[in-house]
Amino acid sequence: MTDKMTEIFLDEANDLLDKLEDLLLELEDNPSDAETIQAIFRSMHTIKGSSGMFGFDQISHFTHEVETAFDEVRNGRVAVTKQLVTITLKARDHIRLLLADENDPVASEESSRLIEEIQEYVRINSSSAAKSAREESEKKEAAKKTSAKKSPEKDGEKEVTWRILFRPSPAIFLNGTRPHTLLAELCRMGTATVSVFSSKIPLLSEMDPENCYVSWEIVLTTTEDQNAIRDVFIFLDETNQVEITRISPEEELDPPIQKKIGEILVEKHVVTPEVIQEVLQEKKPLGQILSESKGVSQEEINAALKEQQHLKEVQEKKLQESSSQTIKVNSDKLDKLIDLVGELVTFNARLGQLSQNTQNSTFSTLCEQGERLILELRDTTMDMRMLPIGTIFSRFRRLVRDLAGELHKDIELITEGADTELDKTVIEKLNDPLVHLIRNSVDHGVETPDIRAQNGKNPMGSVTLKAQHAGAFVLITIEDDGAGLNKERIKQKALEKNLIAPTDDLTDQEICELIFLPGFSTAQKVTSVSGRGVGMDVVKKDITALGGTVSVTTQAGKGSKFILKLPLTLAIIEGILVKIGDNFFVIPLSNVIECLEFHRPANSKVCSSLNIRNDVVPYIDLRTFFGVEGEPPAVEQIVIVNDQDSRIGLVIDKVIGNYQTVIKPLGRLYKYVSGLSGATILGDGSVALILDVYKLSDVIKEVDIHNG
Amino acid sequence: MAAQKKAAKIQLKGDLAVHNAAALQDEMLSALSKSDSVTVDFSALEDMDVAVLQLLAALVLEAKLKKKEVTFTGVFSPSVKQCFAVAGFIASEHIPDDQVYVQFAQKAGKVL
Repeated sequence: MTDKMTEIFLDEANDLLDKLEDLLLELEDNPSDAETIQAIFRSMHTIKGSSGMFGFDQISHFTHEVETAFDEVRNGRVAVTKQLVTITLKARDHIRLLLADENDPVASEESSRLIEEIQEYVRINSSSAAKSAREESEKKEAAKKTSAKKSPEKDGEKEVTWRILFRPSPAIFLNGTRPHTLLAELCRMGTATVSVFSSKIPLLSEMDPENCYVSWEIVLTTTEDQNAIRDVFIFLDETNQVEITRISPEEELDPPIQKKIGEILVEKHVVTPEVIQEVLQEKKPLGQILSESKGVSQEEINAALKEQQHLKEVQEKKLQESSSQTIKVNSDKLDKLIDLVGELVTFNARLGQLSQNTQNSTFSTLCEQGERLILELRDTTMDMRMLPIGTIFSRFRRLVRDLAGELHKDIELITEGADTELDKTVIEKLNDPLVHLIRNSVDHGVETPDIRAQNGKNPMGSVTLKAQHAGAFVLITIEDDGAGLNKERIKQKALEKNLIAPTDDLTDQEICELIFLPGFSTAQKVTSVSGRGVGMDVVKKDITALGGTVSVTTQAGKGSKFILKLPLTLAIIEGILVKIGDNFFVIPLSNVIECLEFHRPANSKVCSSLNIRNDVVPYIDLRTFFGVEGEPPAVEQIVIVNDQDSRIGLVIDKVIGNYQTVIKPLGRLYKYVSGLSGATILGDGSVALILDVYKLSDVIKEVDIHNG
Repeated sequence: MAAQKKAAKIQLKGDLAVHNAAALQDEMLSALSKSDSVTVDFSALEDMDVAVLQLLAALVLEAKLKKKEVTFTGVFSPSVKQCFAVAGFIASEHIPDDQVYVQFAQKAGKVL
C-alpha cells in the first residue's frame, strides 16, 4: 500500500516538475505574467507539501527554500530575469535528482549550494525589482491588447445560455403555424429547458378551440448565436411576442456561481429587488412567500426554478466534461491490452479459416461479425496508444534554451503540430534522434548573433520543429534559418575520410546525404554539444530501425531542413509472406523493391552476388543461412530489398503474398540469432518469423569483408 | 345511471391539428356529459399539435371541476410524446407511458 502511494507521489511529482519547467520557460517569455508566477508558486507548494507528507524531508526542505525565494518574486519585490529562470530551472532539475535518490550526500551539498545561490540572487535583485517590473508590465499591457482582439472569434464556439420568451398570438394556429415544431427546433440547438405557461387555458366548455392559450419560456444553452435563435421564429408576424435575452455570464465563472431564484425573478422584472429584500426577512422558502403574498404567479416561480435547475445542470455537465476527459492508465496495461487484441486477431483468422472449410453459413456469418468487431477493437486500442508528439516537443524548449545560452546564441524554438499523434513506442524512441538533430541545428546551423547581423539576418535565430500527418506516416521536420550545409566542406571531409573518391561526380543532394555516413563530422572543434562524429549516422540508424526515413534539404545562407518520415505505429506492419521449405517468413513491405526468379548457380554459397539489369546486387541464401532442411525447389525466387543505402537480395522458395502482421517479440532463446526482428502467428496457428533486413545486410557486408 | 358508470372513450386518430379541434372539443364535452370517467386512447394517434394539447389540458381542468376522472391509455407514438415534451407538459420524451398522464395533469390542473 505504502509503496503504491509513494509511486503515485513520484508520478505526480514528476508531472509537476514537467509542468514547472514549462511554466518557467513561459515566464521567461512573459516575465510579468502574474498568473504564471502564481502557477509556479502553486506547483512548488504542492511538491513541498506532498513530499513532506511522504517523508521526503530533504525535498520538502529544499523546495521550501526555493518557494520562499519565489514568494519575493510573487510579491513583486524581485524581478523576473533570465538569470532567475536559469537558477530556478537548476533547482527544478535538482528536485528531480532528489526524487531519484534523496540520501545521496553529494546531492545534499548541492542542495545547500543552490539554496545559497537563490538567496544571493534575491538579496542582490530585490531593490531593482520595482523599476523593471513596471517596464515589463507596460509591455504586457500592449501584448494583452493584441490578444484581446482574438477572443471574439472564439466566442462562436462557446456555449451561451439564452432565455427565450415566446408568447404566441391567439390566432397563431390559424395561419398554419405549429408552435411545437418551433420549440422542437430550439431543443435541437442545444440543451433546452421548456417551461409552459398554461394558466390561461380555460375550461373546456368555455374554450375557443382555435385560439392559442399557452405561452412558453425556454432556457437554452447553445453554441449558436442570437440570430440563429431568431431565425427559428422568422415566419411569425409581429402579433407573436418573442423576447431573447442572454442570461449566462459574459465570462466563464470559476468556480461557477449559482444564481439565486430571487435574482432570476428580478432579472425577469417579475418582482422588484425591494420586494425580494422585504421577503427575505421572513424565513420561509422565497418562492412560497412570493406566491402567497406578493402576487407572483406560481407559474412564474416554477419557470424561475426550472431556469435555476437548467443553469445548474449545464454547469455540472461542463464540470464533469472537463474532469472526466482523461484517466491515467499504466502503460504496461495498455501493452498487455495490445497483446491480447493481437491474440484475438490471430484467433479470429484461425476461426475464419475453419469456417471456410466447414461451409456452415451461420458459422461464417458469426465469424465475419467477430472479425469486424475485433478489427474495430484493434483500431481503438491502437488509437489509445497514440500520444500527441507535443509531450516530447516541450522538452526541447529547455534543450534549445540551455544550449543557446551555452553557445551565446539567441535562438527561439518554434513548434507546430504538437497535437499530431504517434504511437507511444515511436515517440519514446524518437527522443534521441530529435535531440541530436536539434543540437546540430543549434550548434552548427544557426550562427552567432553578430554574424547573423552582418549577413542582414534577424540576430535572433529560429529552429522550427514541425509534425504533420501524411497518410500512414508522420512527417517531422527540423528546420533552422542558419547558414545551411557547407557542401564544399562536406565534400572535402568525405575525401579526407575516404568516403568518396576524388573522381566521384556527386549531385548537391548526394553531397548532403554524405553526412549520414558513419564517422562523418565536420565541426572544426569538437564541442560538448555535438561534433563527435557519431552523429547523423546514428540518427539515420535509429530512424530506419523505426521503419522510417530521414532526408535533408539545404539552401546556402538560408538554413537547412531535416525531414523524418515515420510510420504511425510499430505494433502492426505490412509485410509479404514468403516460404522456405515448410517455414514461413515475413519481410517488411516498406523494404521490398521487387521479386524476381532465382536460378541457383552450381556450388552456391550462403552469400554471393548476382547481376540484375547490369547492377551487381549481393544476396543471401536464406535456406542455407537458416539451415532449412530438404531440397530447394526447381525454381526459387529472390526478393530484392533496400536497407539504408544499398540493395540486397534474399533468396527464398516462394512468395505467398501480402500479409498484415501483428508483431510479437521473440523469446530470450532467440537473443543471439541474427536476422530476425520478431514473430507473428498465422491464421492456421503456425508461427512466421519476421526478417530483419538491416541485420541480414550486415551479415552480407561481414562476409564481403572476410572474403576481402 | 347505468350509462354513467360506463367509461366514455375518446379515440384519437391520425394527425390531429387545429382543424380537428372544434370536432374534438364537441366529442370531449359529450363524453364528459355522458359519463363519470373519460378514457383518451392515444394508440392510433400519429401526431398532434399544441391546439390538441390545450384541449386535453382543458378537458383535465373541466373534469377536475366536475369531479370526474380522465385517463390516458394506449401506446404513445414518438412524435406525440415529443410534442408533450417540447411544449413543456412532460419532463422528457423518454419518460414511461404511464407517467405521461401524471405529469400532464399536474401541469394542466395545477391552476385550480
